Amino acid sequence: MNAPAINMHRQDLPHSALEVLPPAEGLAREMALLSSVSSGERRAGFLIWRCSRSLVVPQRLTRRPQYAMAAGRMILDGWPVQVRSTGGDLTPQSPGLINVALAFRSRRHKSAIRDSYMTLCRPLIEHLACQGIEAHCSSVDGAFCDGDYNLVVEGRKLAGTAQRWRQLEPTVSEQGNEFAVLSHAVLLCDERLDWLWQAGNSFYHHCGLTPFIKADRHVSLAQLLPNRKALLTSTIEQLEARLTQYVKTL
Amino acid sequence: MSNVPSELKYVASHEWIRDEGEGVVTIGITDHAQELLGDVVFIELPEVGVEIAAGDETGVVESVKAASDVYAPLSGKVIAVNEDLEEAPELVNSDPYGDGWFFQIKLSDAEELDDLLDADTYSEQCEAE
Repeated sequence: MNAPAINMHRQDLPHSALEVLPPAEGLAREMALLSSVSSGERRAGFLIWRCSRSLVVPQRLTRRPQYAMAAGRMILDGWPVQVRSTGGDLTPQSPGLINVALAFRSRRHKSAIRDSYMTLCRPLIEHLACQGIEAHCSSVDGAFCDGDYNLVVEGRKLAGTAQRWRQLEPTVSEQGNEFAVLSHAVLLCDERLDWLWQAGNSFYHHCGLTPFIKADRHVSLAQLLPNRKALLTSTIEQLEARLTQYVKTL
Repeated sequence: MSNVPSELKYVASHEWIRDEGEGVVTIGITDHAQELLGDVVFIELPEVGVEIAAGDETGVVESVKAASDVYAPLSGKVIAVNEDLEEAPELVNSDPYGDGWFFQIKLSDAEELDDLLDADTYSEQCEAE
């Protein structure tokens, strides 16, 4: 089946990437994008969205005995907690951050997870290069949701990534060994970052975990491009244009 | 090369199946799958008593690198889940075919066993990927 690659939010939903979504709605749209690939509705697609202020956590943290209390405390502080299903670790969200989700097909070969992260990171690195920013993938000790596929600039984390795999439906892949992959990035664009790390560390503390997020291990696009006007809007528009072309190649 | 025990059966989505007799099978994910995922940190399993059909999503495995759905390779009723994985998800990495098992089902259609892959065929699939 040769399903088309589609920019989901433009053609499927009455959604502007500049609109700020509650975390549950944004995450649900990401999973709908993944489902649209696993069902064969499309071969690849992307979604760009902004999220209201919140903490998004993986399911494993909900097993902590202090989780309910910690989530309650964070709500009182203005940081509602939302559970996500793409693994990783706690990620603070705020409207000055840009979420980029890319869904596509892959087989589960030895380097499939790495390759799937690079499928997402490649166009982001190319976009940054066009702005004169040299980024690469690496872990950053002390960064939020650390992993080998952070987008890093001069040793500081600019974006975090996560990934979810789902088998293609039998009608789409008769062999049963093809998967749909959702690769997701959150880009620190134009936000007061210290609030994010304070909230994240507070949650860890309330959960009985050692707070580890260090502010100086992060950098935002606004800090890298201090004189750029309308940075958030222009970044979203440029990423939309780039990814619209990119998904046609997947 | 990943370990693929010859006495087990497999499905293309990288779950293994051990026939325990009397219509009961034990299910987990393969060595190849755990190697790919890396350090497993959380596993969501089906509830005991739930009826599942072959191909159904029955849970999620979260690792430090990614999360992945877990599928029912066969149809039946879930009769046991590995509760040790709640406290020790790393068992999936250290012993995927032993202490890292996921759940057991009582089969509703034993003929589905005939559709499973043997070790050689599964190994060939992994190598081809």
